[in-house]
Amino acid sequence: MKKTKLRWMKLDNAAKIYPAAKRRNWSNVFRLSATLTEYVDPYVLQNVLDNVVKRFPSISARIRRGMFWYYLEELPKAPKIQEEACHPLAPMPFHMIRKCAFRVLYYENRIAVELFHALTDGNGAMVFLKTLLSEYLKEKYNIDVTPSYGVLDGEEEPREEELEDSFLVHAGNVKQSRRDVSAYRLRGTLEPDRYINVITGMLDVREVLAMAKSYKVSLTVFLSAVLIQSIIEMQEAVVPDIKRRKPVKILIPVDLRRIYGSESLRNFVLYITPGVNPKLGTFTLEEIIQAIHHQMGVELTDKQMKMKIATNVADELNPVLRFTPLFLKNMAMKLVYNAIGETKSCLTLSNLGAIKLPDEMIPYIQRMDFILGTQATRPNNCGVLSYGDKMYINFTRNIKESTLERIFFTKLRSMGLHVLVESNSRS
Amino acid sequence: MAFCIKCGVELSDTEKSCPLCNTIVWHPDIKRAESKPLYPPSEVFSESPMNKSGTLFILTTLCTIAIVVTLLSNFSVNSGLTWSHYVWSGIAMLYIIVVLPIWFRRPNPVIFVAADYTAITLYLWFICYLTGGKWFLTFALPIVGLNAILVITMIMLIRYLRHGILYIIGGGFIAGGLFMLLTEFLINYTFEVREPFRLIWSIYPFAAFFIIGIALIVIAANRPLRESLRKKFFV
Repeated sequence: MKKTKLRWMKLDNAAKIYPAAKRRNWSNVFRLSATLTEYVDPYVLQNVLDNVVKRFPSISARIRRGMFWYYLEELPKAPKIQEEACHPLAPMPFHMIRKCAFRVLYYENRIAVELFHALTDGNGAMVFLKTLLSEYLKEKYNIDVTPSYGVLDGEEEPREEELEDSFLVHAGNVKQSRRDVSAYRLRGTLEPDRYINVITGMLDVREVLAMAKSYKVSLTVFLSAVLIQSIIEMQEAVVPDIKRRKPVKILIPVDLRRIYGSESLRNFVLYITPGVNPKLGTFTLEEIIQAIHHQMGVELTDKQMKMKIATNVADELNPVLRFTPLFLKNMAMKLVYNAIGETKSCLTLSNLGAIKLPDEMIPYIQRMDFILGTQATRPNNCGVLSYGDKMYINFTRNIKESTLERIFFTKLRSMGLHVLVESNSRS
Repeated sequence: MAFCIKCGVELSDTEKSCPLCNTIVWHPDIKRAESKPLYPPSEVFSESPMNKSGTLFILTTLCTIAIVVTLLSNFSVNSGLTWSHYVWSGIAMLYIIVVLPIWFRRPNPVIFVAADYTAITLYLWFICYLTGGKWFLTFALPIVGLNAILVITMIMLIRYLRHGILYIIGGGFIAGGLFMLLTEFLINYTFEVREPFRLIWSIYPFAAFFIIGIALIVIAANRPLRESLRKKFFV
C-alpha cells in the first residue's frame, strides 16, 4: 500500500509563543460549538470527520518538536470523536497536543471543537466547524449545501493560500515598540480541581446593537466599555486608595483577514489593548466608550497593524534567535511570556461577530457558542458571537467567585437589556 | 421562566440558583421545567504529577559527560590522571548536593543535609590527601563536623518542634558566635598563625552573634515585649 506523505508546516508567527508558554497543566485552548435541533449521531459525525480532516491539513495536525522550532505535522487520520464527559475546555496537556492538537466532542444536540491555539484562531476554527457541520448535515439529512459564508467544499483539495502564514506576507517595514503599562490583575479563589466555570449570557442582538448605536459605536466597543466599567468597580472595592489603582485594559483580538483579505486558515490575528486609567478619577460609561472607541480607531488601521506584524516577524527572522536551540528558545520565550504576555490586560474579550450560515443549514442549527480558555495567570476570559437574533456572551473563569459576570450582566440589565443566563455552576 | 430577584436576569431552566449571585430560585406558584444540565456532570481532573525523570536524566548525563571529558583530556595531555581528580571529585560532590534530592519524591532535609556534609567532608579529605596536607583532621573535619551538627540540630528542632522558633534561632546565633571562636582557634592551631588561644578577629562576630542570640531569647521569653515588637514591625 502506498504510504501518504504527511504535510508539515512551520508554526505561523503568532503560534510560536503558544507551545513555549504552555504549563504542566495549562495550554492555550479555545472552543467553538454548534447546537443542533436533534441529537447528534456519533457514527455519522465520525465518518464525516474522517473525510473533512483531509480538507484542513493545518488544523488536523499535531505539534512536533524540531531542533530549532516546533512545527505542525498533518495527522495521518482523524482523531476519534469523544462524548463530552466534563466541563468545556478540559485540560489539554502537551503530551496530548503532541499526538493531536484538537478534539471533536459531542453531547446530546451539540457538536464542539476544542483546539490548541497554535493551530488556528477563532475565525479559522469557525471555518472548520462550519464545514464539519455542513458535511454532517449533508450526510445525515441528505441535503445540498452551497459552499458559502465560510463553509468550504469538503471534497476539494486544500488550497495553498489557506495554509500560508499571512503574517510573513503582510509585514511592514517599520517596527513598533511593545512597551505598554501593566494592567490591573483580577484575582480569586482558584478551583482546586481546575474546574472551568462557564456562564453564558444570551441577549437579543438587535437590542444590544441598538444600544451600541445609541452611543454611535460598534458592538465590541460597547461591550468592552461595560466590561471595563465592571472591572473598575471591582478594583474600587479592593483598592480604596485611588493612587494605587492600576489601568484597566482588555485585550481584543483583531481578525486581520478582514483588513488584508487573506484566506489563511492559520492564525492571522493581532491584539489591541484599549483601556482607561482609574487613577485619573471616576469614569462614566460614556467616557469609557469614547476612550475605547478612539483608541481602537487609532490602532485599527492597515498601517498600524503592519507595524505590529513587522515587530513580531522581525523577532522570528532574527538570525541569533533562529539558530538558538529550541530548549533555550523555550526558556527565553516562556520568561518573556510570563513577564509581559498576560500582564498588559485584565482579560480577553474576543468577538467573532455575526455568524452566518448557508440557508440550507439554518433550520438544523439552533445555537452557536465561542468559549475561550482561561489564561495561565489571569482567571477570567470572555468569548462573544451572535447567531440568528441572539448574542451569546460566554464568560469562563477558573476561580470560584463570579463577581465580574454578576456586575457585567446586572449592568446590561440595568440598561434595560433582557439577559438570559445559564451556566455549568456546581452549586 | 424564572428571574433572579437580586440580579434581575432571566435564568435558564438548568439553573437551580442564580449563577451570578447564588440566590436560590423559588416561587410557590411556578413549577420549574426539568432540564438537562448544559454540560455533563464533571469528571474531576487530578493534577498529573511532575515527571522528574527527564530532569534527572539530563543532569546525570551532563555530569557524566563532564567527568568523562575531564578524565580523557587529562589522560591525553599528561599521559596520566593528575589534575582531573580535583574536577571529578568536585562534580561528584555537587551531584550529591544538587541532584541527589531530586531522586526522591519527598526528600527529608535532615537526611540530605547530613549527606551533603558527608560529601563535603569526603571531598576535603580527598583534596588534603592529594596535596599531602596535614589540615584535614585538625581543621577541616572539626569545622565541617561541628557546622553539620549545628545546622542539622536547628533543622530538626524547627521541623519537629514547630514551637519556640525564636529560642531556636537565638540559640543558633549563640552557637554560631562560639563557632567563630573555635574557627579562629583551629586556624591558629593548625596553620600556626599565632598562639592557639590568642583570639583576635573572632571576638567581634562572636560578640555580635551572642548579643543577637540573647536578644532573641529575651524577646521569646517576654510576651508583652513580643506583642509590642510585632505591632511595631509587622509587614
